[in-house]
Amino acid sequence: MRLPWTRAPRAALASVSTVLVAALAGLVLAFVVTAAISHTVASGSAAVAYQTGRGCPMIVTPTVDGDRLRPAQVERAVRIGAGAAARNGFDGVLTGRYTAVARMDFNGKTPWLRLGHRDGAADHVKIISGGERSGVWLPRSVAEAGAVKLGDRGLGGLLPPVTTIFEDIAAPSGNWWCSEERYVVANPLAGEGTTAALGFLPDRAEFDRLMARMPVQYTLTMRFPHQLPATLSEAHELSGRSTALLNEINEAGLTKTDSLRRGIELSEQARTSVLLAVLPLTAVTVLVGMVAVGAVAVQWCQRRRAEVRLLWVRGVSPAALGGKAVLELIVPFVLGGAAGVGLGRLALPLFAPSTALEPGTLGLVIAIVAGVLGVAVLVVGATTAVHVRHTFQAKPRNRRVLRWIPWELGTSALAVWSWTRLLDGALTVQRGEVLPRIDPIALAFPLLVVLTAAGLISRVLGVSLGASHRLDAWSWPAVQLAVRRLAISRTTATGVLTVAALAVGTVAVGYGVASAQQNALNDKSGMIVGANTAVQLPLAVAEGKVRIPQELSSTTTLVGDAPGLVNGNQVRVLVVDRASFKRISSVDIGDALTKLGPRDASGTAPALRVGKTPEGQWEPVSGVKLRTVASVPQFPGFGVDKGYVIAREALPNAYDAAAWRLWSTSTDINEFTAQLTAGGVRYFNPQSRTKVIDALPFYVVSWTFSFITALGAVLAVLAACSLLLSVEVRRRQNALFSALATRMGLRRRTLVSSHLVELGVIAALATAVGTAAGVISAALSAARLDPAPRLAPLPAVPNPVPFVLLTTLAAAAVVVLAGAIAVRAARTARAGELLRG
Amino acid sequence: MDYPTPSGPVTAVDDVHLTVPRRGLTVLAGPSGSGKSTLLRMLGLVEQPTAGTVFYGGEAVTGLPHRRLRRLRRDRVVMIFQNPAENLFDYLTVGENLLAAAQLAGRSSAPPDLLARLGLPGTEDWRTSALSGGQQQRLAFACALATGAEVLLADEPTSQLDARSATLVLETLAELATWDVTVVTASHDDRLIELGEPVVRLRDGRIHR
Repeated sequence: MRLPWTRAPRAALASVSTVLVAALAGLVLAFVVTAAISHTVASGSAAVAYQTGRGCPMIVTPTVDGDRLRPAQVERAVRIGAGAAARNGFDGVLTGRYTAVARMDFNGKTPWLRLGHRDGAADHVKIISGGERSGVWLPRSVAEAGAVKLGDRGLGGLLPPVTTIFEDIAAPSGNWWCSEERYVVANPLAGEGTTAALGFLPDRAEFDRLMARMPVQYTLTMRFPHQLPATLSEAHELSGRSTALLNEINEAGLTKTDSLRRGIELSEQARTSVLLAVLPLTAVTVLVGMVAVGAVAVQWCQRRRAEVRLLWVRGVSPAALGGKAVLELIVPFVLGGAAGVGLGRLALPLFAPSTALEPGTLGLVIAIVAGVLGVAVLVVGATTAVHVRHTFQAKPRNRRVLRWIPWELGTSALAVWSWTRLLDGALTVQRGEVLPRIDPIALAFPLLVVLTAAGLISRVLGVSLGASHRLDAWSWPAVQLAVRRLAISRTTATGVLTVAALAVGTVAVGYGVASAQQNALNDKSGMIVGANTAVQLPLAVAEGKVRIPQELSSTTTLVGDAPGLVNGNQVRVLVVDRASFKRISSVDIGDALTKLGPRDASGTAPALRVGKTPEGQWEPVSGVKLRTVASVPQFPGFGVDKGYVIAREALPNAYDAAAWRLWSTSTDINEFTAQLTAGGVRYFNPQSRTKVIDALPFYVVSWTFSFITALGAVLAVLAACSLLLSVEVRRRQNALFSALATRMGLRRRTLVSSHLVELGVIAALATAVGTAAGVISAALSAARLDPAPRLAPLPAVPNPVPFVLLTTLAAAAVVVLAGAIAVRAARTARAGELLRG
Repeated sequence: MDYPTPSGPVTAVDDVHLTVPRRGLTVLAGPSGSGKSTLLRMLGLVEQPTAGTVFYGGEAVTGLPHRRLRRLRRDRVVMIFQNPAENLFDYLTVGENLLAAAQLAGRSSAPPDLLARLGLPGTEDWRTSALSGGQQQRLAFACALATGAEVLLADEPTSQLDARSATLVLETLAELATWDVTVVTASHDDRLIELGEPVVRLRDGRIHR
């Protein structure tokens, strides 16, 4: 290689700004690619984590259950299961053996009881008295019902002595018991003799001896505990071993279940949905990045014009000059790319739904980033060659026409097309699928709006600056100077404004839609549960025979629920305590309850009409007459149902409501139920808004827009860097002008103001236009990106004021920093030296 | 030679018939805007005339494909710009600049005594920024000679130099006029015009006789 080319990397340092811009371009390209791949992979991992973490971890791995088995069958099945578990890499088999529910005589009393044995059960109950690891362990409810004391023996001495009394296992029973709830938790709503609390024998041998003396068949459960998979590949691997394990267990009478497979299917669907949504956005961003890379090459040609001309007149071809540009810029590209990959990995927790990535993801990222940077390098070479050819070889021609082509018309037409797709439904659920399919074209609507708005405002600024020589504002010298400086660097100003407005708008869209999904998920689940958590209570609580613990009075409200009929249509009548309800409700209900009250003289209760139920006077439940006094479209606790709400004091009798539920503000269902248990209140059917509806469809949309937020953040950083760089590039020019102007009497305050106005105009326009376009388009899109449209409310973007304030503050900080750089250069400049050049 | 401008085409050089002698120093003289730099760029094959033909050693070169023109610029003709720094690679030493010029023309090295002959002995390892303007312009001529070119075209070689540096360049040009190369310069420096033989005076794009 000839000499100027061999020294190209060192020669690059002659133009530090170009090197910085090239490194920045490499960084952004690599970051976008890294983020897109990592985000997609992380979406799969997050979906796996959600699928496996949402339910009982004991049934993520295979389960084997058998009813009415004889002891010999059970032992054989357990032996086979243990062998299969060992061969397929599971930690072992956790077995549970349960008898049928039966009345068991203790001291003449015959409480319902189920006996059983589960490996390690003694370590997973709360002991009230005793604790010896032999004999019979009884739950408190059975001990109280049978007046059983330690040492008593049931069934006329057939049972071993009671050695321990423990707290009843209640739902939610925790990760260890959750797969056994139907055998160990008594359901008060179930019929007599169909359910009972579990008493167990902690010693397996003792249990076996007892079973040998009792001619009963019993239920076997086999669980295969295993660490939960963190990624899709781990899930696939575990699923493969689960299948192999289940294939080895072929005993008759056993039911085998592998729920992980369905979880994997859904997780893969989620990942595919995110990928399909992210891919076009990434492709467009990379294409825009390539345009920026082309601009870097043009900047290189301009900054190195003297050398390019020298080489060209000495017979160097445009292609060889392209090669020189590549050699000069490849190092900053690669370093920037490496930084982009590193940044993408480091920032993963900030934008991705999970930090668990598949093995090999980094390799894939590096390979694709290398490919993209390779293309970028080719773009640099080709652009340089073409630019050199245009500059030195082509005949001079007027290329101004390109400036007047309205590119925004193209993006606005695409936005209209995207809007029609959005109206047709951006999310469609296919038959047999849980997750919605996302239309990536419809999804692009808010971004296309932002792009159009950014293009339009830049064009308006460019045209205005083009005509700004007519402006005569010397009475405001700061404004006049700012406008002149902007006009001189019109291309840079419009470029920075485009990127900045795009950045602000993109962040607004991403943040708005992602937050709308999260809020909609919360609100919709709140509409089902009513509050953060809820449990069903016995009638005795509503009748006042059992008191709710005092410490729960400020965080709970009792709600009655009565199903009824109006005009032959099913409705629900919700009975609320007005005083506590508003405090507890998960959704803001305004003053809707103020019109409710006690029954009037005719025995009719004022009622709130919820949804499209008939207005007027009705008696949907026998003995409950009501008259509608106000209407609301939805109400907490109704979910997709419709009906009426009446005040607690309007209900004639507590038993007129079919069910009573206690709603709580507590977000921790375990803590809430523990408080009830401690207060001696029996409950059942616990619900938590975090688990009441399948959140994965919401997450898929939310994850997609989180990625858009990350893209916007990158663009924002790029815009800020571009602004600072543009100031730095013009430092000498500004310094010369400012130094001379201040010596000729320009006040320092005016100088500072002029720089702040100059930079502030760009920042203010970008913030205003970006925020307006982003928030409005996000609001239009969010309502149409509803994975559960039948359930109110529709997703809505959050209050934009905090976002606007934060963006304004960030923009102001960048303006002040850039202004400080410009003013400092002017203040430290020595006019004599500047003039001498 | 016409240039497009927003107010219509402007003719920079018109109706010029000129024969440059094979050896010696030809000076294109005239005030600013007279067309001497444009004429020099056409001779240097940097610009193509709108009408007319440039001949090199009897061969018409106007209208040749870019590849042929590039080869001519590489092998036979070298342009030297008025700003000394723009004729050099500032990230290379003096010796490396000479070597780079030679390598660009397909030569493995520059003549060993070139620097000494042009008054820059012992400066091989110097950074170009350590040279004065006049020395930089001398180095530019050295680089031009290192390519083995037959024709040296210098555009206002003394215009950006102080008097002392300009003198160094004038001495160089006087020396080169005795060598076996064709030297053409555009200038309105009277001292340089005095050295020229012939001197072609231009005014408003035409030769003024």
